[in-house]
Amino acid sequence: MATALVVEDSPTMRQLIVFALRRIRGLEVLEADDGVDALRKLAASKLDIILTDINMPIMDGLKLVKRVRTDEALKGIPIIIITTEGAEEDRQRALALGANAYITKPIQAPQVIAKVKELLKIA
Amino acid sequence: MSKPDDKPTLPELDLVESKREFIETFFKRGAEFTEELMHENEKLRFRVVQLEEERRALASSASSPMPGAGAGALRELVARIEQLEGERESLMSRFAGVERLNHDIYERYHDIERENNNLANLYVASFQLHSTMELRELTQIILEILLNFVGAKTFAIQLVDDEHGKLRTLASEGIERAKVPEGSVAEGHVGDVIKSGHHYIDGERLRARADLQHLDRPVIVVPLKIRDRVVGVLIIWDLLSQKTALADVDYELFNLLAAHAASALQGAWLATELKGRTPHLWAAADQV
Repeated sequence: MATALVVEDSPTMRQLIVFALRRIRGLEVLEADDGVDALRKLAASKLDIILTDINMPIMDGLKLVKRVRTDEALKGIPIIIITTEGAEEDRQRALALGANAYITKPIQAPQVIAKVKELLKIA
Repeated sequence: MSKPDDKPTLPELDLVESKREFIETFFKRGAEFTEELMHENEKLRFRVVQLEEERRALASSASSPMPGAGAGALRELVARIEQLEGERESLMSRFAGVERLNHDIYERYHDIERENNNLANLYVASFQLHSTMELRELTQIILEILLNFVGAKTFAIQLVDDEHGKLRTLASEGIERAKVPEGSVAEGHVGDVIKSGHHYIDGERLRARADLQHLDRPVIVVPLKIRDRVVGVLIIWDLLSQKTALADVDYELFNLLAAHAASALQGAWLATELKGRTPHLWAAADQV
């Protein structure tokens, strides 16, 4: 069974993403409010994929990507950015830091599900 | 964050859970059915190829009969070829039927996916609107629905000040609250919306994605109603750059906000007025 971590400060948006991910059979979903909370959960559990917003208090999504990619134990975890930032330079910056995919809000659940399945290599 | 008291009750959770299970079962069965069809499709393709090879082999042996072979054997071969041709035609027809069915199922699957996505948006928006009685948190939820679900970039929530006949800004996003114009409740498109109770959407400017910076010319105005009375408006001046057009679900979200946001705000305001005192809900039993 794979486990996903949804990092999003908006409870409304977080619930929508979790709602979409629950449609993937066998996927367990954990939630975090910001980058620091995410790092705590990453230290406590074995996680297989991270879906994170960019604009969050305390630690934003890009800093989280940097921290994960420089941590020996975590650097292989796929990361999907889900954000309102639609500019191409924002996308390029996130991908350059090591994000595997970049999805802009408003999200389409099938798009998020397909990307998670692709990165987890599940049918 | 919502308090434990604001969470849905057990029967509501059961209903949500049963809805979710129904949707999951529905999609699981759909996926299994599609897999079966794909499998059948593959078998038919394979059989067609086999028959083609058989037909070619037979045709080849019929056109170069071995010395001494009789006319009877040749007739049998020709009859066999005709039989196989018939079988092939029948299989091809079945194959085409399965392909058509596959296509229909694929389209239906995508329609259902889209519908499911829309329902999920509406469900979560509705759930969140009624998840708290805390005014600041509720206001934030309305802003988040507009930002994350609709894709609004510059927008505000304004309330009708009946006493002064003007609008008062409750909150805004993409623009400082102090800079939001607080006009008369009778002026412009906002005034029309307050009077009629119907949305205003400037489709032409939205499509052109031009001229969206003028604060005196909103592109979307949604009334916030308690029953038929308009008590406020959601005003949108600009959408996120990636949001190129409004979708069906956006109109549904506007309807949801129009019908639920104001009463949720009023409930939260009343709760604020109670200054943290918990109303004795049981006393309502005597009032119904």
